[in-house]
Amino acid sequence: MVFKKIANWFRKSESQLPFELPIDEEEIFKKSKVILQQLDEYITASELESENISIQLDNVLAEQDTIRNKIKDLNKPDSWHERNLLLKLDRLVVHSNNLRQRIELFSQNIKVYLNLMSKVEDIRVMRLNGLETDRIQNIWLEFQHSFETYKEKIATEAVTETKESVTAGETEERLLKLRQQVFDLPQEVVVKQDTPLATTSQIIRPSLERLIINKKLDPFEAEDSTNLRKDLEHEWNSSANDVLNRLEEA
Amino acid sequence: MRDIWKRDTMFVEEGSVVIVTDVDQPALAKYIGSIWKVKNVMASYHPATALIYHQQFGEIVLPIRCLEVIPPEDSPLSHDEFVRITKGYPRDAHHTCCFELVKETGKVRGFDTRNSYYFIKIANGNSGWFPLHCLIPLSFRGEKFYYPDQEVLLDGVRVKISKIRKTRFGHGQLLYINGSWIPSTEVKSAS
Repeated sequence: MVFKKIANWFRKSESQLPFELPIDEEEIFKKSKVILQQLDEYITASELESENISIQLDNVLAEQDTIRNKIKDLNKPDSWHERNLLLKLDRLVVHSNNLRQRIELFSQNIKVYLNLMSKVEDIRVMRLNGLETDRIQNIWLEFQHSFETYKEKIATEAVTETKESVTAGETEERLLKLRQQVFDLPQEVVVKQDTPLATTSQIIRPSLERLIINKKLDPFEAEDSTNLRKDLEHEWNSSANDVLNRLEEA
Repeated sequence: MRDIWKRDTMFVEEGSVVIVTDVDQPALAKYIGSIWKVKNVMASYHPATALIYHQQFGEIVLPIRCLEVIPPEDSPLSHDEFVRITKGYPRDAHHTCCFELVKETGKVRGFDTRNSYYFIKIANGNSGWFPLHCLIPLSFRGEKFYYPDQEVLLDGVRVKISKIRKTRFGHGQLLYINGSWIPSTEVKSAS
């Protein structure tokens, strides 16, 4: 059932109607009773779901406030306790954003369903009045156009939607921002360091013993160990001079 | 016992939401049709009386026979709604079925919170208590009306309906199955 619920959310988020829409207005008139029933049920179900989510959102927001107060009361910068609370607050912010987005999606779906219901009822009434089919067709085409626009809009939103980063660096930045918000500190501009920090790992030479072992592992070059050692010593000494020069330059 | 039933078989208890349908004093006539909440029931009075409260009008005391209990918000039938009595039922602990009313059409004029029975009054003045599974709302415009505890097929699996709910425009209904509201068009009758 949970999977079904999740599937429903995805289905709704893609703004696809949960049933196939008839193309012909003649067919709409014939199936109008079933279509209206389905739409009405989906509207009510979406409203209920949206209501439940909004209650959940209120609870999450209240929990956020509680954690903010806890962080303020604790006032232990750089402690693991505070970090843990900040991480929890971060998770709650993500959760509340997701809930907000879902409520908006439900609202948009309800609007589409309402519009569609109104059009189907219009068609029914016009057919009963014996009006021209061209005019009825126009209503249907008009709705289809608006529905396509809505689908495109939702699709664009889905493409442009940025997912929350889970990398360590991004998390640190978010936690820092959250902390600044909690304590009402001025927002510091976080400068990203494009160039990596200077390290000496490239300058450090491998030891002579390591060089010998590596050479010995190669079966074609490990014939004479004494000659090999001499060669390597010479090579190692020359590299030492090279390293010293580079360190001086640095 | 504070909570008690009176007025024929009408059951009123503390916290019930009631509508004033009649008054015993002309001065209170202006309250007819307004909705109140029961604050206290004086069952030992003659006639049995209730103290009712309204946020705007305050408190008044009225005989229970002047009140009608309104079904709760999540109930599939609302007060004053037209229903058709489809069948009778075996004798209940609180009520006896009035088989004369079967196949008649009437209005919902009361609710029993103990067993969720509805008080139905028909046009000729007769009335009786009926459970939901003996009634069908006339405003229902869907294909098939489902009842609580009925078994249905959902994705080929036999499941039981816990609750039902009216839809916004009365074209269908929602069924509470396994913790979520499912549109009735997504299930099939198991029988």
